[in-house]
Amino acid sequence: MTAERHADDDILSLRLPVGTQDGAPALRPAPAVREPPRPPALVETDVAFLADFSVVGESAWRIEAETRIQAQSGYDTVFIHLANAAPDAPPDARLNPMLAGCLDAGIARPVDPAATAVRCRLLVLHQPDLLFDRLLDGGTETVPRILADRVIAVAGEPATADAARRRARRDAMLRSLFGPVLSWMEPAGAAGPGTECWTPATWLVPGRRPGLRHRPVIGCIVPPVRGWFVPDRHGIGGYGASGHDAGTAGLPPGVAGLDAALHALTLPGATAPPPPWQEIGADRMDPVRFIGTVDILVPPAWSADPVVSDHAVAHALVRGIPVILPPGLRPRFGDGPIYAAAEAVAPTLRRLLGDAREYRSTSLASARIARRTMGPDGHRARLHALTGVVPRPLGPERTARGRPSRTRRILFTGAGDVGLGHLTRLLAVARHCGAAAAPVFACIGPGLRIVEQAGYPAEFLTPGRHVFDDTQAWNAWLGAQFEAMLDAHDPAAVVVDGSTLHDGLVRAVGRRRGCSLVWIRRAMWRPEQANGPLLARERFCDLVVEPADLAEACDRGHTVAHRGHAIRTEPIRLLDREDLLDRTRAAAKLGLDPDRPAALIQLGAGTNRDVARLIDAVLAALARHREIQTVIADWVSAPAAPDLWPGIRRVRGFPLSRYFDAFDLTVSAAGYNSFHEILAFGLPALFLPNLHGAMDDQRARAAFAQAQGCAFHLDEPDPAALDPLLDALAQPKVRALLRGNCRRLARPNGAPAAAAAIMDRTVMDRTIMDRI
Amino acid sequence: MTTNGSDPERTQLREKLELAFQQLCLAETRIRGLAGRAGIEPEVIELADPPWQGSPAADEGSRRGADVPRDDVPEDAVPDHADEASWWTADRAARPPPLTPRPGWACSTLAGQPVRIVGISVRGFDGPRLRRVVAMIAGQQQRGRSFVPVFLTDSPDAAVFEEYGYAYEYLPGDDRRHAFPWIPDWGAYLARRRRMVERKWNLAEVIVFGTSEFGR
Repeated sequence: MTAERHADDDILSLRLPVGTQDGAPALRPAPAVREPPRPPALVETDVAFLADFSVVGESAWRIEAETRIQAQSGYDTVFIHLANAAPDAPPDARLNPMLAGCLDAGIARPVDPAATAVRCRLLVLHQPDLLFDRLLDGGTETVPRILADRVIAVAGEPATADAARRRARRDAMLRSLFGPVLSWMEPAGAAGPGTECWTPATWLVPGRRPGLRHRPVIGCIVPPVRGWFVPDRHGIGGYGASGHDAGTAGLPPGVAGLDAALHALTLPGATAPPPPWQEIGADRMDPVRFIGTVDILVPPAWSADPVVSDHAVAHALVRGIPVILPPGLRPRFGDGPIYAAAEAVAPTLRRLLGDAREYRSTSLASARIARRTMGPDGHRARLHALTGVVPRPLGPERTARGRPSRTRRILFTGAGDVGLGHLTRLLAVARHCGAAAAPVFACIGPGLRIVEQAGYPAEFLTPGRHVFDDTQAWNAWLGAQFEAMLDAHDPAAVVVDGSTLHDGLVRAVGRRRGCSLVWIRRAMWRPEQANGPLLARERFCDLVVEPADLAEACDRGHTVAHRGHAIRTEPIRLLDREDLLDRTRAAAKLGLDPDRPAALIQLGAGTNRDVARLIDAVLAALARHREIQTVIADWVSAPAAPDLWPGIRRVRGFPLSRYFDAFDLTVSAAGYNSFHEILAFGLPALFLPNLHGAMDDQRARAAFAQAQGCAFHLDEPDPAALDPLLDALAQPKVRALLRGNCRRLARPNGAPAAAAAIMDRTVMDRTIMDRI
Repeated sequence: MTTNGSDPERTQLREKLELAFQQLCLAETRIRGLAGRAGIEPEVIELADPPWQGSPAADEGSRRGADVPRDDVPEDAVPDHADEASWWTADRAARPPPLTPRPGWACSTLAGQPVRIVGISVRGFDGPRLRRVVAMIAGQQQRGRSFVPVFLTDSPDAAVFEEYGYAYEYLPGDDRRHAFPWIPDWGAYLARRRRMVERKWNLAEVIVFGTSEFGR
């Protein structure tokens, strides 16, 4: 291949070898290597996209949307990647996850341009300026070999006079390289007189029915820039930006004081928006998923012409999420959005957020309009016109992995690995999800045996205390493991119980669509734990469930101010009354005499307090009551302890509360599950709360129970205090009084309501598209 | 979790931890011996009796065995390339750097030292048999102080590993296959998980106890 530079051109003008000008498929010039040239493999397809697939921005949105519509319409699609074509592209750029998702789903095939030639009906060329940069650097030998019946070049620059001149020269080159039938299109909003617009189109995303979330969310997407997807040193997705200042989000006028969350998805280069915006980085949440988590989409600024993503607006409207825009954008977006001048924004938001019926009717109306103008039909029609191939009726994407699963698997996981509290609540909820769901458990640390004995499949996640490295390194692998589990089990929801949402989990779920994130967040956080920043992670969740605590009047923790952000249920218990064995059977299982009183000592796993010393003190006090049979509970999550008290029976198993009726009293820690089971089933108790700094406010619970006359409370097993309390508990009349007071506080089990909320609000039927 | 520190106080703490653990093991052995000679046997009642059992998937799998409904995966399904470096999506998953496992209580001072990480496959081992293997490995580690084990198990009882302070990985055994009816190729699934484990810990080798190997 030879080239001549023409002095009055800003680009190499190539003298083409004979054979290409007449349209014959001479796909590449003879290579300048000594080995005999190997014929390239040939791929035939309907639609080929030629672009840099590591780029983040509007073109990525566009390619993904069109690929999905094509898959739903029966078209075959290939991706031809121009690697690191731009001069400022980072060398370690990776495939954009939005586009990687298309490959993973099997709705597009990657093509190696170095080894493969492509024959297609339609070539869509995005960012043609990148292609010309490539030609400037390496000549036509670096250009992929493609022959297309029709070429569409979607311009990446506004239609100015200079751009028009450059386009005229590039036009000839593109025709010679890819095919003689070429059309230039402007992206939406940039079309001028005499130019055609490649209007945005989006596919129909299966999702939740239109309706306000429990706590409404106003969202915006901070302006996109040309950036690239680049993993950070821990392998967690990050972004490199081109250096362009993308700005940040301003506050929609008049929204201060609205009872709604403000979430801003920041794309590469964007500055973190000021409060009250809560930032969600695009490396933690897929943009399409983000749109599905908001109730109303607004632009990042209320100027005459704010930078707004066409596809973000299209996605939102088509899904029934109202979009409010400045009036100046009406020519660009048509009748789907709501247009409001600055002074009308706040009243509009109040109207929509304050009236569920108004919201629903607005969202349905917007969606109907948007589906006519921005839905899949527009793209299907132009594909038909451009390729001559009739699209088949819209249906679920035909992927190489078959149809989406109809089974609603739910992945349950606990955030912590101390004790069994998280796992117990998760089992309680899973038990009530019903036959429509198939629970799978991912245990961080112990609990595998319990889950499998309960009949559920169990996976294992390495606890942080198993590794020597820092938290970020552990989180990176946690994320990788979650991604592998999400790939393998394809759950409709991930349900997490704990005081935190680990970053690795947030990223793994946030990058997926069709998988909701639910946080079961019990309260009674110790105020000195300063866990406020952890609460902010609720912005990544589709649903937060807070089970009530009988002692919540004493709650001084950070979750109190966030109660309105969660769906609240009654206290969650694993067992109901009818699950308990009667005294005779329970005593027989434990080898106890049912005609004598019995005491259960259950003080926890012993991982963060010296339970041996406590048990020793309690046994010494109980030894004075020879009629009482004593049983020590060994925690199933703890290593087998040496038998320090020969002659004292020990029991190991789960759930112990099933055997409560075999006992007349208990000395117990005051963790959430034990506390609520003891009070619910009326077992007279002395609470010795775990006061470790990492635990919940067990002291407050124990104090509450004593104040209500339901139990006794002691922080330290000082014999001077312990003896009289156990003497009291040894009295049948005292126990009867405590039992009666426990019955007064009885409340229903919140597990069924929690399960119903999860199934109803977040688990989406991914096989059925919204019928609006 | 700790950051990699080599300051004298931390080293001293780890040495104390090692000594304390070794003395605890000795004390436990003596207590058991004394109790045994006095005719006092520990009475531990194991309870495994939840009031409900089974999930829809597990029930279905156990009833129908291999013939369970699964997603309609065509014969020519796209092979899983999550672990393969396809030519232009090479390493797009960008796996994070390997983790360093805790060295075990008896060799706490090995923390942060450049020793080999060795996988110990104990698939099919449970209860006392598993405990004997772990004790043997711990003994070897204490004598040579040249490696840190990561146990690869299909036993859901992890207490023994926690007792010794070792890291471990769990993969369900073939007897749990029925609990995952939606996974079309169980062997491939286990193999992928094993590869991930090997990368995660940068295992120098895997020593296999018994006749079947973790993840194969």
